[in-house]
Amino acid sequence: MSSTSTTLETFHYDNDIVRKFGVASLAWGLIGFIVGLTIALKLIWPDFLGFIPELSYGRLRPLHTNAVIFAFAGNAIFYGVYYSLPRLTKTPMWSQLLSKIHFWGWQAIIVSAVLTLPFGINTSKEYAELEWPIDIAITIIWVIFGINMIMTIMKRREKHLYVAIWFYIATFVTVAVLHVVNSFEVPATLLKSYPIYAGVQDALVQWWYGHNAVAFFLTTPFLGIMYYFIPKAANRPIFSYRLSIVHFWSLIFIYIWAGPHHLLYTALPGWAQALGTVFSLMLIAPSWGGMLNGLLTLRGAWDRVREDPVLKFLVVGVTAYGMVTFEGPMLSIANVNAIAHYSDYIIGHVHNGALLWNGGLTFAMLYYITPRIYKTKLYSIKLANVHFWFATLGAIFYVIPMYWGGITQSLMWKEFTTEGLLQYPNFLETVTQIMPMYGLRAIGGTLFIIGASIGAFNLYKTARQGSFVMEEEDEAQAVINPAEGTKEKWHRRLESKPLQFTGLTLVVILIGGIIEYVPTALVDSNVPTIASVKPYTPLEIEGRDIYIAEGCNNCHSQMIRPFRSETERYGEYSKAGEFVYDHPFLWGSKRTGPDLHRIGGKYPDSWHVRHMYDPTSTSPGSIMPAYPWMFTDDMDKESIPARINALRKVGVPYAEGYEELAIRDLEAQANDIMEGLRQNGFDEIEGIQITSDKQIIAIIAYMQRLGIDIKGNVNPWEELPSSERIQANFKPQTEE
Amino acid sequence: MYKYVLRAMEDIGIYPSISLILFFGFFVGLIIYLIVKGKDYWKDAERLPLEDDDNINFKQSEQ
Repeated sequence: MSSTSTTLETFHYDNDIVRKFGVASLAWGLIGFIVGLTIALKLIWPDFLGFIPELSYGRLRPLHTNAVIFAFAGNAIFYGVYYSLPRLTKTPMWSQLLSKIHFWGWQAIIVSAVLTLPFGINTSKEYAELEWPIDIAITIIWVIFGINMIMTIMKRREKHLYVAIWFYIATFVTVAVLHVVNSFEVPATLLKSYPIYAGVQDALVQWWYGHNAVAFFLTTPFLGIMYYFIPKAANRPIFSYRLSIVHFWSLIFIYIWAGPHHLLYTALPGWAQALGTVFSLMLIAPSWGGMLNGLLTLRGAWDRVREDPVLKFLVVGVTAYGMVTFEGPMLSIANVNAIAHYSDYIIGHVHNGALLWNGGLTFAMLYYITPRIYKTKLYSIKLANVHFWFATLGAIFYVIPMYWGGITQSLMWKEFTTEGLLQYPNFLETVTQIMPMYGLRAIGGTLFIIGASIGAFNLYKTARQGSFVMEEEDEAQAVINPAEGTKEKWHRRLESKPLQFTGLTLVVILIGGIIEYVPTALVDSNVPTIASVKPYTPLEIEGRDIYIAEGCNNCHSQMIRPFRSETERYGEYSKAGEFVYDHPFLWGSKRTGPDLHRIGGKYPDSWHVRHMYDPTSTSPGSIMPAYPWMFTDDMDKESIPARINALRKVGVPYAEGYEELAIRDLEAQANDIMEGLRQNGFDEIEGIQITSDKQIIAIIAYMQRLGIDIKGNVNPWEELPSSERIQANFKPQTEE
Repeated sequence: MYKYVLRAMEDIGIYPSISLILFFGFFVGLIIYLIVKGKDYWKDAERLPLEDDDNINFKQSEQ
């Protein structure tokens, strides 16, 4: 530190905001875990909790992922930042008011997720499911967090910015960019919007976002936390500060490129897939550099790991990080990806990260901070150790069955007989095979939840026995003029210049995004158009929006990869040009059920009626939930004009004024489907009279439309009243 | 609209190469710089998280 001033200033850290975020993380965490267990049980017993729409698998799965990522891990990040940042900068947070707005705003966002996702209000984009008004709220609250953080850094009493702070800065900057770019959408109604991107471009933007949500929400802030709390808990400096510099820049530079590895073998242009793979492989270097830097900090202190639950959670967390970041690059290699993608392997992979890395670091922080802000000792080290073993064994019992089941199922999908036919042509055979693994997974999850509950009890008792220090006193030398002592050069100098540092971080993360994304948007040859591909009819739009609302894409992909095992099973592989009107894209990322891209025309309408009412009636042993409410709930005709308008705004060529005619077309097509059902005696099921205004009719229309355009022999527009007027507008979207 | 602006740029193909060289240069430069400066140059920075060890609260709760 500079010796220009000898005056010591006394100031107070705000422990209240730290405690609030800690409690929120723990409480939301438990809720998120329990929702996770609920959907795990629903995969074993599809009728678990009955067929209540708000509790159906497709609606709860996004609630689970959002709760764990944004409520559990999100609040944990702020818990770590609000504790460590003031202590590293020797100043309280800049504004207590902004801290409070940040806290309550973030909780309000989580509550709004709870109030929308189970009611079928979602955008379908993974980890970005929240609808547009909430997207705006997230942006505002995130910026408030950023202002508070940057201003705290500006007002610091410590000239040098410690490496943890760099990771916090990168988190703020990158998440802001990701969230805004992925949320460009045109509202149709108050709670429904369509993304401006379609098909391949939407997929690329979404997985650039989705991958980097993992990178910059679940990784970089936790690395910052690692760089602060491991030295604290081990009471020794980080193994190599120089390594941390290389770690930081290479990690943020490389990570941003890796998104396309989520789209290998899809209709995404090959060059983008290749870039994604190469950068994913390179990523192993900075990831492992960081992991080793964390673990080697403990050299000479390993004996303490046996006694201190904080260190136990940190060590297992960082080790899990190492495993996951080894797996990630391996899964990005095309032929490994061909086996693992769409399978439960990926579910195992992410839970390895979420339960042990994010969970481990979060619980380490909770066990570290709670006694300190309550001026007491941990209530019971023994209980913390019990929690540790429940968490670790729970994660193992979760992850290994998922790996096993995932690979088993995937190999069964690909198995051919000696005659060259699919060995398991019935998808269900591959599902029933791995049901024991789903059972083990639920046991693993239960163990983890028991552990977390023990942890919550221990922390509660710790708080009860201590007395809370609302404002913690500290003192440091007066504010140092950051311009002073600028003999330092280059990186050392940069480390005391927060704004330049933030700017450079922004440049570094933008490079990958721009080089990878812009060409896909610009170069038409990246998405070859197909003349016979036409926009959806109004009834199909309604069906598609129901598909989105019910979260069907959580279990069904719409992307047939160009493998013989897939074309045999599902039909012609998917082409980029087939998705040009898909706002949003619905390729999915997991096949709990079969791919649906060529489902159109595969079964009669009556099959869909029976299947949606009771999947086991057409597919014995199916674990798909039933959708009885689709037979009694009316479709939403009222907002059809607004939706047509919004879709036109994002580029679907519906003629001006079509919104006025759309309902007439919708009803004509619905009546047509209804008439067909009536003729076949399917206008009634189990005593329920089906009418043409029910949701099931729209779902059937959408199902029957999927993947048929390139066959060119069926045109759903043909029969509609405004067919001729409308179709004149449907020229292929080339500008040549 | 922006499509035409970008398409009209001449020799746009060289930009990726320039950025590759720049970034490669950055990382090589960074590593050389870190080696040249040596370990001790960062002694004070790496102790930053540990500096509040004498803070009142920490002492009281030290187990």
